[in-house]
Amino acid sequence: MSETPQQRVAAAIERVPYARFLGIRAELKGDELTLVMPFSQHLVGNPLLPALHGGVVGALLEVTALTQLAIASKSERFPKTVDIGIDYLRSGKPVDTFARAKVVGTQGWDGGLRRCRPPKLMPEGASGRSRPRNPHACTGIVTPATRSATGLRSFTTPTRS
Amino acid sequence: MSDKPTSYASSDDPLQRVRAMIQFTPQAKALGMEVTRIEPARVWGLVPYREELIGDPETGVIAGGVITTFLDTLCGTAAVAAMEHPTTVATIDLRIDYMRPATPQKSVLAEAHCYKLGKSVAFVRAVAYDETPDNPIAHVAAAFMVNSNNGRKVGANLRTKKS
Repeated sequence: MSETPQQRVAAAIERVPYARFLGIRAELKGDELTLVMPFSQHLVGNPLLPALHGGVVGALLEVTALTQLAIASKSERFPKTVDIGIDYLRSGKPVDTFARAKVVGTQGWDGGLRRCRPPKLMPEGASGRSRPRNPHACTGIVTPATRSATGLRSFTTPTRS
Repeated sequence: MSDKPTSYASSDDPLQRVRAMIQFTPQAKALGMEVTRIEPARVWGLVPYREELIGDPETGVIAGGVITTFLDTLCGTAAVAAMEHPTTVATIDLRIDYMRPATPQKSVLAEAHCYKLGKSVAFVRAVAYDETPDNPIAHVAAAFMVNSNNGRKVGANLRTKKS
């Protein structure tokens, strides 16, 4: 049975050392990608509450955005991040956490320029401070697992192949 | 060292205090993050290069997420370093601009400056580099909630239902 390009990308992310460090696993249903980050003690940033480290939540979102963008652009190579902005809605609970990404605007690699819009995935009440100023590509994500743990927009541009 | 996280404000030496804070943060410890220098409202730190942290196996460049976590922690530390009476902080938002990839095999260094400490919000800027700050890897602007644990009990996140 031959692998689809989507499956290859999803498998590729699991081979990235840093994704393994976080324990990230990819689940692919059609074109829809969900990254799963099972809870582990080393992901904790606040041992009192306890809560996931904000940087780890940001890292999960970034990895998801990069993978989704690679799938959308039908590229075997991962894009490079130009900038990323994360708005924290609440602390991440010490449970398995999921992330999804949506490509909302692209330029150059699949035709013309489209305006970047804040993604529909953003939960109600998420910060309205949208920063769609990079015209190259933009991706929006939430982690719906623990009901909108975090929302963000990230803007990335794929590498030229 | 005591295992009680509440003791992080107990030391009189600011560098000792923030180092203890890092030790109480499992993810910062897992990254191998160190704080090297501290001044009021300013901190310097580093993450040593490790193969485990690679984000691009082809080039050996460290993952963006490492820089996110490192700078988030360092910025939080800078906010605490600006306080007369240290308390807990939580990130409200964090924005990172990448200028170039980190050099493989080199530690990522960074300095963070809390340029405004308000009553409830602290604003922090940081720059990551591997040689000098003049050739930055990334710039960060972040906002932190001050006294974020206020009113929340230990283990608050372990409860299943909000009361």
